[in-house]
Amino acid sequence: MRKAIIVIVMLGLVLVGCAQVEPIAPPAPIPPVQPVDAPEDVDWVSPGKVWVSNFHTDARAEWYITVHNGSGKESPFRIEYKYPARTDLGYYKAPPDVVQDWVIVTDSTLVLAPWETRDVLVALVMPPEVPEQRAQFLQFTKDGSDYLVESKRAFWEKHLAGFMGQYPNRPEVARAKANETITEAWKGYVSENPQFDLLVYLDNKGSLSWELFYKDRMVTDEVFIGEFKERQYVIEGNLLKDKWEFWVDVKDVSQTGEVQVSMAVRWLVSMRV
Amino acid sequence: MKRFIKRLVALVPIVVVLVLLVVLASPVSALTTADVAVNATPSYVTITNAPDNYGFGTVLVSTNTSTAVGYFTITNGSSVAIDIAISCNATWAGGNGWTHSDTGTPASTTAALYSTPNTVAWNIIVKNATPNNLVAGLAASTNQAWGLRLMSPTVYDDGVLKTNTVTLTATAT
Repeated sequence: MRKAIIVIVMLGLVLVGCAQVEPIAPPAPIPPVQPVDAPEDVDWVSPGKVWVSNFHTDARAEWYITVHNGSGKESPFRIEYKYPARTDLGYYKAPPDVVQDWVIVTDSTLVLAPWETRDVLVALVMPPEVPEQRAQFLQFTKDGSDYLVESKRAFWEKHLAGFMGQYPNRPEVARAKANETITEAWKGYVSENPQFDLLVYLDNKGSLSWELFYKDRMVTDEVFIGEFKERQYVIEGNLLKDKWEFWVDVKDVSQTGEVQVSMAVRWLVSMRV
Repeated sequence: MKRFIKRLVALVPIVVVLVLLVVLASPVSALTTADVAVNATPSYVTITNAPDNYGFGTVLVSTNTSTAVGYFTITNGSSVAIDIAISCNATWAGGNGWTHSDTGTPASTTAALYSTPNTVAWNIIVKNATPNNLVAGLAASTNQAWGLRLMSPTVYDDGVLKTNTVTLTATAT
């Protein structure tokens, strides 16, 4: 009797454990969408865009990326997260310091046989908890970038004019002298001017979480950020509320030239309202 | 009865371990969360570029050396219109190496690259971390010529050949 009780208790516990594995019935897996009439003899990737909607914390979104080897030889491919060069209207460039870790490529290094086509599962997984400082981010805008470029150009022209004055009849000498000194002078100017130093930092980062910003920069930079926001040089986004984009890049790493090509799948994410 | 309870208590850790083993060994659901929607259209993206290299030759410090503005040609073989981003490595290989400037500002042993989509304005900085767009909305089955400009460092610390790799990334518009 005692043994029977022990066995029943153990069995019950094991069954309870098993029952917790999948509390909600998941949707059926989505098969890869194969493009029609895709060429055989060139590398390609499909689809061009993946839309994720109603996304939220503790959620997972999956899609298959199809990669084709268009060469007659075995070729290695690398599949990885990439920061977007542009986005669709209304979407933010997601900060790489946060989102990169949320992108999982099941097979990030592929070796494809000649003309082989293979599906690779990519998953976007948002953690259950995303602290505010990780969710909120700054994105440097085209206006900010243009202002930086214009400021640099004005700085160059001012210095060039100085050398033109010194060598009025030898413009080629003036230009050479200017070239020798201006770049260092600009670097010095930036390092001594906190506003431009911050603009260069933002230009390099593209977009970044407040968490990284506070880690890298002084708190006094917040004053400049306030000014930059007013001038639309930076805009603020929130990964938990806004629409955002990232890319998954596919590259044939057997390319040997100094100019190479890759193809990226755009992932456009809309959060649950 | 007491003895039985003692035995039962002694079994608890074993039972806990067994339950944990069963739970941990079970595969975690690897599917899209039930209330999240994922969609895509069956388009494909592919580009080619030719030629795939260019030698700037021997360049003096603090000089700008360029290809012809339409030296390279990209062909959009995709089923859709595409954008093309341009990026490069963070360092130039060879000898002591050069740093690549993402702000388009050469300095001591620091080089910069600019590109142009076949116009006279060399105003697109080739960056490592945050790529710029070289071309927007290139229609399917069409070509785009483009060029590359090197702004050499203000100071060299060796005479060894330097190389960098430029990558053109195609995405659906």
